[in-house]
Amino acid sequence: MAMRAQFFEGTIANPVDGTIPPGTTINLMGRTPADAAPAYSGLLTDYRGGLGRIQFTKATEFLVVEHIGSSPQTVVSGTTSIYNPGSVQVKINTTEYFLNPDGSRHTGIPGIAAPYPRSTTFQDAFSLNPDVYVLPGQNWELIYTVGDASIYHATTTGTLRHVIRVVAKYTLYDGTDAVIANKLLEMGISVKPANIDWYKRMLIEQKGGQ
Amino acid sequence: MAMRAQFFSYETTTGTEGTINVMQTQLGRIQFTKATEFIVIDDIGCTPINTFMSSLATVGMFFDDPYVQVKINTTEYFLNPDGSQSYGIPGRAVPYPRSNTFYQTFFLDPEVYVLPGQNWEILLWLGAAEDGVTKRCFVKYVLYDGTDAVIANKLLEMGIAVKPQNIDWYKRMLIEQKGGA
Repeated sequence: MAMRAQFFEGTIANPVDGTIPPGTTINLMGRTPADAAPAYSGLLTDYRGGLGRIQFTKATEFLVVEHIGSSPQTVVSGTTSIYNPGSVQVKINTTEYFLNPDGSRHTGIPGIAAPYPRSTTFQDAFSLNPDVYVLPGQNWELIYTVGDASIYHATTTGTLRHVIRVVAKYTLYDGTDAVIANKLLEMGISVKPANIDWYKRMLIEQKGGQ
Repeated sequence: MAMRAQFFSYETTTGTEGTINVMQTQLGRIQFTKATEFIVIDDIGCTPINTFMSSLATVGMFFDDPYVQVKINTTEYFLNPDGSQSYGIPGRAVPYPRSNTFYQTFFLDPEVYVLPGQNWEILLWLGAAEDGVTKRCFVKYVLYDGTDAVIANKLLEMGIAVKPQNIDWYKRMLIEQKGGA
């Protein structure tokens, strides 16, 4: 299993009474697991609260982030909905991927442009093409910036609580496939399963094998 | 019929929280790929739940939605980015059934291969206990049998994706090499 499609979903909800105010930035992966994990989470790392540390790509790995998205909408009062331009940003080492045209800092891709989940109401305006590469030895993180509306706790809005979800779909290349991925990168060829297979075939043909 | 598109689905209304070994539950035993078979899992999915809000006020209890995971032998396929155990893919990303309410976000590419001699299982994480709520999952796969399974193994060695059209391509190549038509 040297190439694997993977999916990360992080959930944001206020764990105590009150709000998460607009403009708050949240490191989805690096934040600590939630304090009050439900009993049924068992031995699993608390998926909603984060993984507790920054994500580090091993020397034998190569990651290709193919899609990011976040909840496009939140509820502000009772059943009244507004569009919440909360945004998701990809950070590689200390560099944030999405920038303003002048190179200044940007909060990333709004949930209304890259919605999760997709539906008739919200469809993709932004697709991550070309993909984002996370090379061996690099750290990566997803950063969510709360939009104009705060994220409220249940007691603030009555019976409802807001849940924001942020996702990344990526392919993890491991072992020899990670070596080939690096080779493709050097050659200026995009790293995709089809191109990894093409490179393998080329090697086999060069050896005269079948 | 040496290449066959197959579909397996499961549904439950059990109110118990936790994970179900879907095939073992429905079929009574773990699924074992024979020496003459090769399985390629193309797609998976499970029941989606609304993402924007939850009526469950207890901290953590909004995690009441199904996830689907593939297990090959003792290895679970989907992991957290740090390599730790994950519930798999949420129904919001791979909805079943599909509708205008939820579109697919996650596509299983590259596909998952189950090689001859391997066991495989679909794990359905039910989330929080909810009596009377139907939770479903499915897996769509292609079963290669007999000579097509041999060709599938050959393609795997050659680094070529195992797909019906590539199986056919390999057969055509063999026929052309023999000068037959």
